[in-house]
Amino acid sequence: MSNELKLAPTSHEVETSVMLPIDRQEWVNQLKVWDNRAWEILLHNHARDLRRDITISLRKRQLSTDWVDDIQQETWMTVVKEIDKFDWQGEDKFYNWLRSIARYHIQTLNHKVKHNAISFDEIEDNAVENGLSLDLFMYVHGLVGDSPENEVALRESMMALDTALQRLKPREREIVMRRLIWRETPKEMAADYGVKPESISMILARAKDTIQVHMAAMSFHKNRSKT
Amino acid sequence: MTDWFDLLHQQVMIEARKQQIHHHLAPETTRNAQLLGHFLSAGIKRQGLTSESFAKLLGVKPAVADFILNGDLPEWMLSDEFLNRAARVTGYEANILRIMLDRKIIPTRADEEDADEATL
Repeated sequence: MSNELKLAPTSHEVETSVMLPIDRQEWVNQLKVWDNRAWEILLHNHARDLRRDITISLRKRQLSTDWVDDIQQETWMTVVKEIDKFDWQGEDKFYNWLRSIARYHIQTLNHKVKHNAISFDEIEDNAVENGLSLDLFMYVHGLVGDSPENEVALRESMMALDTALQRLKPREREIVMRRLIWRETPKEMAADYGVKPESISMILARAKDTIQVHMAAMSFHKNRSKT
Repeated sequence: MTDWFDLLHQQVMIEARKQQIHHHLAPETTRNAQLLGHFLSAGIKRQGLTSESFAKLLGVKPAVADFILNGDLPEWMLSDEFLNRAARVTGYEANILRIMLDRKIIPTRADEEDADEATL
């Protein structure tokens, strides 16, 4: 692969892309915030190659090349939606990532046309960098959510919070939640409850201790069950 | 440029703009429902309930209960009346759930709390 990325041509320089060095990491960061210019560069650098590879892949599976436009569109829509999960590891791997997305869409089409079913073997057949295969499989089949690690962490925090809240009185629970969710200060809450800010601070300090004890207990049980 | 490229370029730019808007707006609108879902999940687990029994107590279909517990139901569909019922089932005050959804509350006064405890 060349060390240079083509800058997308303006309307005055059709087909005469300019070669300039661009910081790849920064470019990918810009893709992740869906910056127009970054996406134009991506299209101008890879759309043609990807279309060619899609055509070859369709022929290889004896599928009609009439599907090229559909697969190409589905692939790029997936790329736009999934780019924020991509970790930059080099130009080659980036293009492999694009190709593997296209391949998934082609395989899904292949199954629809020939078997009318989806095979979980596809996951094994397409192990690629960035841990993409399973994610993409889930995405293509509408099974995706937030990252599993975040979900687990959030679920565990909520369990600890729930347990800790049970030790508090209703008004104390309310104050804790206002602090945690609304990020209100003791001073802001004091007037609402007709008490001094110090009283609110004491409630929060007690609640914080209780929550920490439960979080630590959960983490202890988790580590013990691992060993 | 060729026709296919112009069309693709247009499609990608529209989708990129959509994602930009979605990610700009999404955290505020979906995070609350997600938090509530996890919080209710913890509450029903503590009560020894399943999502099916939770659905039954709320008077909703199991699929709807799953949507709520996964945080997939839009916030506007969670009415105040629903929050009152969910609070009763999980043993919380409705205010706690209202705070999670960023809705206004009437703060619980100390004398109200004492009165509640006296009736238990």
